[in-house]
Amino acid sequence: MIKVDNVSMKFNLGKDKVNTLKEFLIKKAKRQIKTEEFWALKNISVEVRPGEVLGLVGSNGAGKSTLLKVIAGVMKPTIGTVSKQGSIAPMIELGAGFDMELTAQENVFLNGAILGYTKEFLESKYNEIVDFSELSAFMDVPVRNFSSGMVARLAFSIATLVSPEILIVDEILSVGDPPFQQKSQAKMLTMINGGATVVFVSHSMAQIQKICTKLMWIDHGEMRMLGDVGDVLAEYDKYNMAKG
Amino acid sequence: MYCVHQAPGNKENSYRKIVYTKSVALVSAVHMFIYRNGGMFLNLKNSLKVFRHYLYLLQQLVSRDFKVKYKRSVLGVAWSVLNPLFTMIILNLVFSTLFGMGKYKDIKDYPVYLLTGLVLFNYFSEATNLSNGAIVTNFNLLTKVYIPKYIFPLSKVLSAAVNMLFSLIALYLIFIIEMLRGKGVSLSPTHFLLIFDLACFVIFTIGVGLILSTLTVFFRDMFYIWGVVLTAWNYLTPIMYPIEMIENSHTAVKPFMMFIFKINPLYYYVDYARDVVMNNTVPSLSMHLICIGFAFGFLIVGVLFFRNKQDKFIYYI
Repeated sequence: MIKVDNVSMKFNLGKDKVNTLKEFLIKKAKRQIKTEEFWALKNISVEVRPGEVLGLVGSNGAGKSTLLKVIAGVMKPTIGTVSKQGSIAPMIELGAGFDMELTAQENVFLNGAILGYTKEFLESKYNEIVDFSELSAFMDVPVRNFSSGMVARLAFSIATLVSPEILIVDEILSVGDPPFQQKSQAKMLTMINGGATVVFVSHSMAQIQKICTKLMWIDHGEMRMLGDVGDVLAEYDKYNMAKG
Repeated sequence: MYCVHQAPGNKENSYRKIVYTKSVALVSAVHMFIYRNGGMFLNLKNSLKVFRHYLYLLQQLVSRDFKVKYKRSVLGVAWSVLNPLFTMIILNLVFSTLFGMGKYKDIKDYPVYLLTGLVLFNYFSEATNLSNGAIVTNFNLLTKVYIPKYIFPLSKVLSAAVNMLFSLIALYLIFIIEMLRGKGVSLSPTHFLLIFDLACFVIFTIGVGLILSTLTVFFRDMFYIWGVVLTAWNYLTPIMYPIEMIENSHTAVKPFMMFIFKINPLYYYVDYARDVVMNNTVPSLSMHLICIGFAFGFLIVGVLFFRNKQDKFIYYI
C-alpha cells in the first residue's frame, strides 16, 4: 500500500552551481547566492492499494522519475509525506553499483547486496539469475567486456528476483532482443499479478493499457488527471496530437 | 545570574546554594535535550536494525575495494606490505644516518619506532582521503536506490583498515629482524593491547570520515584542503622524530609544538602503539581514557553532523 499525501518537491536549479569555497564566499559577498527555486512536484496526492497498478505518464521532465524516487525513499519530499507498507523493490536503474572491474558473478552479489538482499538468498537464487539472463558462459568475465545488452540482461535478472510487496518500475522494459523482452514482460506480469502494489512509468501506450489499473498524468509537476486508464490515455493522446 | 547575599558567617551556605542551582540547571538542560531529541534515542533501535540488514552490503563494498585495488598489478596484495616497508627503509636511511636519530634515548629502535608511526599515519591518510570522496563518487547509487548513506564513508574507512592489517605484517617483519639483531625489542603480551589501540583509532577515523565526506559534498575544495592538512598533521605528530628532540630544542616553536602534542589525537594513538610494541609497557589509565575519549567523541560528532546534513546531499551531487 502506498499513500502519497500532498507531496511537493523543490530543487535549487543550480544555475552556476557553487561547488567551491571560493565561489561561495565571493557570491555571498556579491549577494548572488539567491538560488532559483524549481518545484518539480506540486501537491501530488494519490493512494495505491495492493493489487493496483498505477501508471504514470507525462512529457519528459514532467516529474515522473522524481515522483518515483520520492515514493521509493531515495529523496525526502520538501512538503508532504509518503507512507508505505511492505517490502519495496525500486527498479529505477538497472545495474546500480555494477563495478566494471569485477566479474559478472561478483557483480551479482554486489548488486544484490546494494538492492538489500541477503547473502543466503543470493546464493540460493544464483542459478536462477544465470539461467534467466542466458549468460552462463560469461559469469567469470569482467563486466567491462560485456555489451550493453548483456549488462542490462544481467541487471534485470537480479532486479526481478523477488516478488516484493511494492514495486516501482521506471521505463526499464525495453532491454534485450525481442525474445528477452517477451520473457521480461512475462516476468513483470507474474510479479504484478502476485498482488503487489505497483507504480509504473512508461512511454509505451500499449504496455500501459495492458498492465495498469489506474493512470496519472503529470504535467510540469502537477497532477493533471487521475483515473481510469482509458480516459486519461485519451486525454493525454489528444494533448500530444495538439502539441505535435 | 544567582545573587548571593553575603550574611556574615554564611559563606558556606551560599556556596552550597550556587552549586545546587547550577546542578539543577544542568539536570534540566539534560532533560530538555532528551525530551527534544527523544526521537533520536528511539530511532537508535531502528537504525541498528537497518545497519544489521546492510551489513552484508558493507562486507561486499569492502571486499570490492580490496579486489579492485590491486587488479591487474603484478605484485597485487603484496604491495600492502611492500609499500610501508620500502618507505620505512628509505626514511630510516635518511633519518638514522643523516639526521642521527640513533642517539635519542626515547627510541629503543628507530626502524620499529618509525614503522609504528608510519603504519598508523598511512592508514589515517588513506582512510580520510577515501572518505572525502565517499559520497560524491557514489552519487549514481544514491540517486537511484535507497541505501543508508553512512555506508559509504564507513566502507572506505574499513577498507583502509584492512590494508592497515596487511601493513602490520611489514611492521612485524621488521620487528622480528630487529629482535634477532638484538636491538632490545622483544615480543611480549603487551602487544595484544595494540588491538585496543587500533580499535579506538578506527572508531576515531570513522567519525572523522563522516565529517569529511559531508563537507566534501558541499565544498569540493576539501580534496585539496585535506591534502595540506594531512601534510601538516604528519609533521605535527612525532612519527619521524622523537618528542625528546622537540623538548630539548630551544626554538620559539617549542611551546606551540608541545601544545599541539597535547591536543593531537594521533599523538596519543601512535604513542600508545609504541608503548606496547616497542617499550613493552602498559600505558597509563589516562592514556586509555584519552584514546577512548577521542574515539567516541569524534564518532558522536561525526554521526550527528552527518545525520543533520544527509538529506541535503541529493541537491548537491
